[in-house]
Amino acid sequence: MSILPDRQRYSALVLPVVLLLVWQVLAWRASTPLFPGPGQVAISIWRLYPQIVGQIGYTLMRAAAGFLVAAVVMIPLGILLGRLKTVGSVLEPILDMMATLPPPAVVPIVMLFAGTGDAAKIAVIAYAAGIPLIMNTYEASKTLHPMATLVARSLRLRRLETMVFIDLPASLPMIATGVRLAVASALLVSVTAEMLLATNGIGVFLQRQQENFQIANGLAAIAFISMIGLIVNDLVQRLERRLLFWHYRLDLHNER
Amino acid sequence: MDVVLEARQLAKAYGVGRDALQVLGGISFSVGKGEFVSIVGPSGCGKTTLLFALAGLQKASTGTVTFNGRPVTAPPRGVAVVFQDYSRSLFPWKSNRDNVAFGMVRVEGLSSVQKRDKAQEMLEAVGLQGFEDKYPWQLSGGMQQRVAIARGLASQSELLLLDEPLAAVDAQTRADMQDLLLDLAMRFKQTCILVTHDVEEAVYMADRVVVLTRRPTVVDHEIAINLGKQRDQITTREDHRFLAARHDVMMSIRSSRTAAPATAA
Ligand SMILES: Nc1ncnc2c1ncn2[C@@H]1O[C@H](COP(=O)(O)OP(=O)(O)O)[C@@H](O)[C@H]1O
Ligand SMILES: [Mg+2]
Repeated sequence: MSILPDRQRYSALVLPVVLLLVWQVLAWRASTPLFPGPGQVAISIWRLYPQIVGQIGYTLMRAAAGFLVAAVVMIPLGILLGRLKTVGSVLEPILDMMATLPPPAVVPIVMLFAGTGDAAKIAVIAYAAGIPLIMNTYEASKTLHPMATLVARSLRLRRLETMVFIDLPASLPMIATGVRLAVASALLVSVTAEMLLATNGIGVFLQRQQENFQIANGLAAIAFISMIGLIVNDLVQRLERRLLFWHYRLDLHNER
Repeated sequence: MDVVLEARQLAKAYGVGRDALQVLGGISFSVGKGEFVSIVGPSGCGKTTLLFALAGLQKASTGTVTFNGRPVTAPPRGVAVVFQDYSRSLFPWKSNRDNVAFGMVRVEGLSSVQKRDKAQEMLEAVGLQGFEDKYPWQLSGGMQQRVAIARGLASQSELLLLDEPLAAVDAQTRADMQDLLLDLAMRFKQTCILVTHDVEEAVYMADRVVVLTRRPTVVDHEIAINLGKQRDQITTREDHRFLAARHDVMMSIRSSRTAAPATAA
């Protein structure tokens, strides 16, 4: 099951290939190590991939940890706030304010409480991933159709049961949007946090290469990061379509 | 006959002060065990409001509802509701079988396997065998309402409240589903209250029809329909007692429409 049909997938390759060629030509003409072409980047990738993969491992682990922390806290909280209308409307402006704050800006505050270790980085990532998660979950839970509540009450569900069995699944389509944003944000902020709170990870690797004017090596790292981003994004989309078949009205029985 | 449900002087206003809309003006009636009672009134007269008050889903401004002698303040155990908006009352992420089984979430003393079996049985009773593993959105409107009816029946409720369940389905399907509902009510000895704006449907289905006025709504009068439990779409509708009852209800609805004062706005 793929998002694009085959023909579209091939035509989607045309533009990147053309861009790579143009880049290579420009690099040949510039012929300086400060402007490496895709060829040199490929060589860097070949030489450095064990190192890059190792560093990316750290980055991904922290991104995943931050995302999980955010999901475990923010999704239930968003559902709950959607039900507690008054508390929700009190907290809403605070959420809006936090949403406009770039995550790197919270790094100094986090450092105060959590230092510069893994915990600090995970906290910053969780903050960044948490914002789209709670915003989308809260919005979904707040705007649930009243019919769902009536059915829940007529079936004599307890409040918690209503939230788990009705509010949560009914909110999933919007939560999925939040998840996509949160995953992207977690990856991005994971790299950024490493550059600010340097110890290890692909962000540190990237920074070091750039400080030493090893532009090709830096680009090799960036190529890896974007590839990881694409793969993760694809996985999230597959998962979403699998879990939300009922939202996209996919006929399970005809599809397989 | 044992009284299952009793409404006494139910009144309901939406809003307050000048903008208040007095919908129910003091409705009283009762329903006995095993009875099929239709409540008929024009659109907007407050049928859904009344039904929600009976179900404990919405508080009346004044008046009381008692179910098996106990006052109703929240949805009581033993009352099931089939909503008018069937497509929203079913959960799209659940298969039809799971939707029906979910009607029994708070029914005690049944294992999940028993609930599943019961759901299967009820889906078969409403003629949906073969659709158990499908989802509500894969079904037509009439079939979705059957799933909702199966869910209402599955919870083994003493009282089934039906809010214009057939208003949104086409005429042929409506006739079929009227007979299905009657058949099920008889088979499961289910006490039913059907709320509808359709006079013919009200008379065709019921042992007794409660006729409402327009807003502020009260009970105009009640008519016993002495046509026996067994009904037939063609012969029952031609029966002089059916026609007399239909005439009576239509006359009273017409006179309440012309005689009633303009509703307080
Ligand atoms: N929650 C509400 N707030 C304000 N007015 C309402 C509300 N629900 C219903 N009404 C009004 O009350 C009247 C009766 O509604 P309803 O009970 O749905 O009537 P029916 O089911 O007979 O069509 C209508 O005029 C409707 O607009
Ligand atoms: Mg209604």
